[in-house]
Amino acid sequence: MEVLVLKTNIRYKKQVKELAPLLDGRKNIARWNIDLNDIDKVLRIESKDMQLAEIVQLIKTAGFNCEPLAG
Amino acid sequence: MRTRDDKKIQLIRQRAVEMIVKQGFDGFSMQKLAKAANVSPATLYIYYKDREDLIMQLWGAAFKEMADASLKNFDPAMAFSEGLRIQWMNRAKYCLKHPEAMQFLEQLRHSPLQVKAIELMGVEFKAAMRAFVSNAIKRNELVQVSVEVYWSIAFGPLYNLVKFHLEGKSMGGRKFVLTAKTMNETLQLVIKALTP
Repeated sequence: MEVLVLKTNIRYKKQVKELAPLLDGRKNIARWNIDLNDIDKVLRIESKDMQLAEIVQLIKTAGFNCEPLAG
Repeated sequence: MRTRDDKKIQLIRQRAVEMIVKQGFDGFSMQKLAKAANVSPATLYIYYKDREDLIMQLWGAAFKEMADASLKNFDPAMAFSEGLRIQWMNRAKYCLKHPEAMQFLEQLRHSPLQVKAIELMGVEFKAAMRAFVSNAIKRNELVQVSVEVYWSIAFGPLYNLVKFHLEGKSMGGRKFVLTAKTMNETLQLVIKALTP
């Protein structure tokens, strides 16, 4: 299992709900959450064999922006 | 999963507590913490699910340390005056040694996260304190009052003296240093007040 972290422009719980079906539907995502309390609104994903680029693409499909968190 | 690096975690914890004590919960962010602890924000999210998870884990660790320190050489079956004396010694020692941890525990008590913190408290400490009080009441060494009144009288004065000491001054800026004599004097008054 690997942890991927991305900075996003997701701000509200409502937006998290919009995104949920997309992430929940992926078999290789074991767990995910978005830290709305943090300035970077970090999306944290525990996944198996998932590429960062794949996630970025997925989030963008949903109409949000995201980029890998530095380091 | 990467293996946990204990030293790194220790530093993250230390910096996080310092930051929360100095700048409050509002001034605390994962990004700032990462900078202070010299790790990347991404690393923080490997160890912690989110900001709240980090704060709650910090709280759990600090509370356990405090509880363990407070239960050292203590037995709930002790005579009330002796048990309370040990509680005072242990708690004072802990607070003076870890003023930041103590302030952090206090801050969280006054935040919306308090409800979650109570769930994390564990039973051992609470059970020991409860048994101590009920034993003392049974032996007629302690007046029967509500838990709030009991706590305020039994421990309120201690924490207040510790606060004065840590600030180095009391009311109106009077200089203050907590000595064993002052503590003992106060403790005797507390015991007197709580004796039936």
